Amino acid sequence: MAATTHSAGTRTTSRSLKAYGLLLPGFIAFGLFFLVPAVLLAWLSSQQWDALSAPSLVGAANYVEAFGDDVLRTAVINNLIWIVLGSAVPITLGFGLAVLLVRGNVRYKWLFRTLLFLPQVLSSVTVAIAWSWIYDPNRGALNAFLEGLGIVESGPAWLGDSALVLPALIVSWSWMEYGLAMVLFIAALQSLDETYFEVAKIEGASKWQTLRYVLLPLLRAPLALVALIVMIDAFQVFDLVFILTHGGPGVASMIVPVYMVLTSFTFHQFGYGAAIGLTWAVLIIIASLILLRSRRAFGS
Amino acid sequence: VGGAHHHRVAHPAAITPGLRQLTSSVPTPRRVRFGRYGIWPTTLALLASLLVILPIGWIVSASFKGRREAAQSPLSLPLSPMPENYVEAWNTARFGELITNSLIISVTTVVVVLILALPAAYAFATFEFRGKRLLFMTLLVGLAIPISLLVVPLFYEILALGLLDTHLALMLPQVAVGFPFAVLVLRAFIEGLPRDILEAGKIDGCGEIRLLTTIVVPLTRPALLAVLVLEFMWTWNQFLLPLILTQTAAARTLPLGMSIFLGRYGVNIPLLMAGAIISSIPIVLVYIVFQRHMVKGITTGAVAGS
Repeated sequence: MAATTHSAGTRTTSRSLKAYGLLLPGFIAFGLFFLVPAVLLAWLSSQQWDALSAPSLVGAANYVEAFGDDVLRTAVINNLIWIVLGSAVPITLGFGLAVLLVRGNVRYKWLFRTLLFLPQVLSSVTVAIAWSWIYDPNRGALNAFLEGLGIVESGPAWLGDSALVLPALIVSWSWMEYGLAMVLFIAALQSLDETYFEVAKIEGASKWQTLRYVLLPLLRAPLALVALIVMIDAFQVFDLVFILTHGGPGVASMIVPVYMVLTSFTFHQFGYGAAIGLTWAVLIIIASLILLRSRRAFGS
Repeated sequence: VGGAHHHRVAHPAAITPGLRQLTSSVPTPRRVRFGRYGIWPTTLALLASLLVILPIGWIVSASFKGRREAAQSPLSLPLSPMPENYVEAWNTARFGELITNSLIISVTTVVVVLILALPAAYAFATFEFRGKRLLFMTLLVGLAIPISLLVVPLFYEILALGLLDTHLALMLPQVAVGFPFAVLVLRAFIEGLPRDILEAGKIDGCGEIRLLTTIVVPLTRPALLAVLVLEFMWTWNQFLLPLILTQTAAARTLPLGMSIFLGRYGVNIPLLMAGAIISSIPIVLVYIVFQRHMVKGITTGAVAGS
């Protein structure tokens, strides 16, 4: 329709130019400090570089090395566990709390909502400090609590035990994250048409039946959306692990981004670190696309 | 009147509100019964709140104890509260400097993000142009890729620009990190605005910039506020960028200062907990004041980003 006459065509072009003008400043900043580093990362991944001598081209050698790297394999597995459990726990908890706060006959709803969302606004460093003390084997709150109740005689070193460290970290992560799932579910629940519930009530449905046959089917699409968002968040985790354990003890709680930063800044294998980072970035994009697509299939 | 009323009831579209009226006015006994059950949901909510109250309560209580008392009886209330822990924490961690740096960086970053994102969002919402899809996809990728994967090249870029240890070193990358989300939310909001208002401005012969400042900004105020609060929180809480891009205290922010504090005074629990509380107060205040906007930004962003 626009290209039919010359003048309309020119107008389209001038409107396009205006649009580019509006986009330009933002995309310059985004390009310089996000896209440029991304391109540099790709270049660096083909180099061997210790930051002292000049980088030298090694082609795909870094990627080949990554395939045989046992630590990286552990990091990938831990990351996958984190993505599954670290989204399942906050989603379940957030869902339960949202149903309780929206559909339940709770007094002082706003107060509970405000309180329950609080961990979400704290910085990961504050949360890490709090949990480092809660998990402290000798002077920590959790062991004092368990020992006080007589559940254990002397509690474990939560962050020092290679079998416990990952679950313990995921618990503190879930503590930070469930608030996000909760407010998203609250918004979804509040947007539902009240009629469904009234009909269910009239039909004499029990609370459980209402939840199972009315609420859950209505929440399919929002559930998929919340899962997508929390999973992407779980993919991005870095701070808690870096501050609390550095991936330790040994490599028991190693995750890919932490391994990448350690490889680069601690072991000075910048090319190898970049190869790990780029591979992980590509995997994130692929996973996001799959999640996005399955969400659309699931939601509609 | 009676005839009209009769007609309205008979109309299928009127059945739903009629039903609603029926159910909300008739079963008074049901209401009473629900009132009795109200105790259980409230108790359940109270139990759930222990998730937040217990850890935070322990921390507040520990922050008022002596060192030995905190180590020996972590859960008890402080025997004689020691508010001086807070003074000591404030002075040792140099909270004054940290908060100043964090404020300068967060406020500037957020303002710049909004100034850059609003025109871009407006362009995405109201213009058709070549490469629109591609540019938008780039933003989505920017949203999915964690900045942790880019810190090495970012470090060398900032080093090459001679910006290491400056406020700018933290603001520029944070603007890039915050930009995609802001564009996404604002675009979704502008798309929901009535078209004819924007068109009317165009007919009046407003330039795009004037249209933006005189018409779009006032209309998008709620979304702008929501984005502002969220981006402020994320910038304020950012840990990795200051960790990588500062080496001295010159531009050190609150979260980084706290992590260094943790490394140095990790054994002094009361001091550490007092520090954790001081460092949380600003963001908790922002949260309490702007809670509604924050939640709105999150939900809009969630829907807009997928």
